[in-house]
Amino acid sequence: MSFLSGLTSKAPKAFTGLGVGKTGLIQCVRWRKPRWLPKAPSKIFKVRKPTPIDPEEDAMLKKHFHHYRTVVRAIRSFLLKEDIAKMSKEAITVEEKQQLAQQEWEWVIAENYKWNKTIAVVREARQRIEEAQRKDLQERIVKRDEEERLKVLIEAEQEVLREKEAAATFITPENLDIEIEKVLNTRTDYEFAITENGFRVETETELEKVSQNSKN
Amino acid sequence: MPFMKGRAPVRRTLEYLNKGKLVFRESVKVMTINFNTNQEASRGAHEFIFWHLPQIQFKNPNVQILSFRNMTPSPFIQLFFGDGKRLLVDVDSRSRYDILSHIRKIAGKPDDVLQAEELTQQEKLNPGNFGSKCNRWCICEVPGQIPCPSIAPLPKQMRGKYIFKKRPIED
Repeated sequence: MSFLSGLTSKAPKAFTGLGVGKTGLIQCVRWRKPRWLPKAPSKIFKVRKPTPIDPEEDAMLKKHFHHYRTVVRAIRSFLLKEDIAKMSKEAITVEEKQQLAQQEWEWVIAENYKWNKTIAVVREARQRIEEAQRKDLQERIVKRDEEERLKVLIEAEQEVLREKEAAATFITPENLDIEIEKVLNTRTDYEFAITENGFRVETETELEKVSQNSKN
Repeated sequence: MPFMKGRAPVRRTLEYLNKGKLVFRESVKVMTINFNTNQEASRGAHEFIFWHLPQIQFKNPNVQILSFRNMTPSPFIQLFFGDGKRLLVDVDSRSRYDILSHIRKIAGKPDDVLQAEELTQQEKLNPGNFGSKCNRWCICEVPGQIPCPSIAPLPKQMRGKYIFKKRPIED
């Protein structure tokens, strides 16, 4: 009894009733007598009754089964052969594969060439315009540099002329005494007015005009 | 809100990536795109990279894709194949749609091939299928289903031999 109780406690539970649980679902994890357990005493000497076989019915059924299975086997083998033949027909050889790949590649190249050609028209037109613009810009830059260079030259020449003219008024050791006399003998009058813009007013009537304007 | 950072973060979503239509043929190994910033003629190529590169790389993880900027006077795409062949595609002054459709035509798998591949993939992925080409041989492998009768015998009521056996009618 303890042996059995030990079994029941460890092993999964048996079906209850008709094998339908409370929820109505069939529970499938069930008890099965393990192979290492000995046969139950009530079953040791049990001999099963051989299944009753009606000889005529049995012979008839066997014949029917033979016919049926032969036919099914024949159909299956026929279909299989057909399938294999179909596959071998459709099978592409290595050379054919290479040829197909080559054809595909040629098509790809042709399509791409067409595409590139249409784009090349647009691209070359754009590049021509850009090239013309670039050249034009370059020329303008060169011209501008040339003009600036000339300007600088002219400016320098004028500067030189001015200096040459001014050189006549330079005070040298020979002129020194004369120039000193000159400066000492001249007098400058600093009593003059200037307008808003900094220009010197010459006569008294001008001065009146300026004062009148400022009042207005 | 800093969740989807960057410009057009929709490009990083799975939905967008899965919608990519360009799947290269097995022979295509490398794709190189040369374009220029600040050039109107390169705008199509630039946009192509911006919008379609993530999709292409997602669908072709084994293809190396490179982009070079401001190295050549005009934009172009180069495709390098496994047998050493090279293909140059001029993309000057073309929109990204044109570029994509042309590349698909010359180097992408055709639609029918893609459909067939998708079907086979679905058959494999479909969890309702069992057998040699699928993830599982039998439904008994799934936890929660009836265990394999070779391990735990089915209850009486589910066995054919019981169902079809002639039993005396119980009163």
